[in-house]
Amino acid sequence: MSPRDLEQHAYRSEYASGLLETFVGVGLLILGVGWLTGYLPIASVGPALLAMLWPAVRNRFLGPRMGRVKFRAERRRRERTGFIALVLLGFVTFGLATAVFLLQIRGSAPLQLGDVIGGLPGTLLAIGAVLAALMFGLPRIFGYAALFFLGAVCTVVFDLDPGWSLIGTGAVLVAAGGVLLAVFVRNQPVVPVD
Amino acid sequence: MGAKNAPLAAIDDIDRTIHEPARLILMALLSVVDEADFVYLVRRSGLSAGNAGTHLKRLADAGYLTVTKTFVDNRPQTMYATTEAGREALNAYHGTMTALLGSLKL
Repeated sequence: MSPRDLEQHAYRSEYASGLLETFVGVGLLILGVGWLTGYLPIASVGPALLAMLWPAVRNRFLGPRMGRVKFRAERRRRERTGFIALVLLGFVTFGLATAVFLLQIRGSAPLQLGDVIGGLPGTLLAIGAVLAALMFGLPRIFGYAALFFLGAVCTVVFDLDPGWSLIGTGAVLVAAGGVLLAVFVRNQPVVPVD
Repeated sequence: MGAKNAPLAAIDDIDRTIHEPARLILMALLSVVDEADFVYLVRRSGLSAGNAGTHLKRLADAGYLTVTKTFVDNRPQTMYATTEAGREALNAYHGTMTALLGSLKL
């Protein structure tokens, strides 16, 4: 195993607990409920709040079990770039959704676009998940990307409200995260320190 | 121990501080990060807390690690990082073992 492999393995392990899935899943549930109830702008604050809570929850809950590590500057730089890319993708998503919404209410949206617009949120989430999978080096996130895309397809095919796709995928992620967290807690008890 | 056989003379150059498997694992883990705490090293190395503590102290006493003790959320936290001497020693150990095992090709 080369030093690069060792570092990569260590970095992947930081996100193997299931907490990431749980956070993302809860964020999607909040967005889905907000979408269905018409309070999406308010619900959009949810993921931002979760992102702010992540360090504190990670340190308080995972820290005593996983410990803390400061990766090299190169890794931290790549992680920062990845997060910026995900945030930008979020802004692009919001901008696209707003633009299409305005086109639709003005009656200017092409018919074909109107048929598939419901699948836009899920598709953009899938793209974000692929980016995250490449950034974190976690193959299972590619599986979540496929799940998001499947949700987008179902939304279009069955003419569902996109909010249900968000809730469905969010519920799956929370469940997956819960299982991973349960396994993690069982296998990694708190390490006694002096 | 002195190796009489010249091709195996490199055995005398093995850094026995790093050569011990547990300490080698700990040095390898710390060589790829800036710093890590005691819990992380116990988890990643698979060593018991007591065993890891003993070996980390040996490495620190040899000047291969820096040790920083703080408190985070009212819990003691001990951070470890390799020193320049530690990184040089690990690189030298790698070179010694590579040369030694190369001369032992069967």
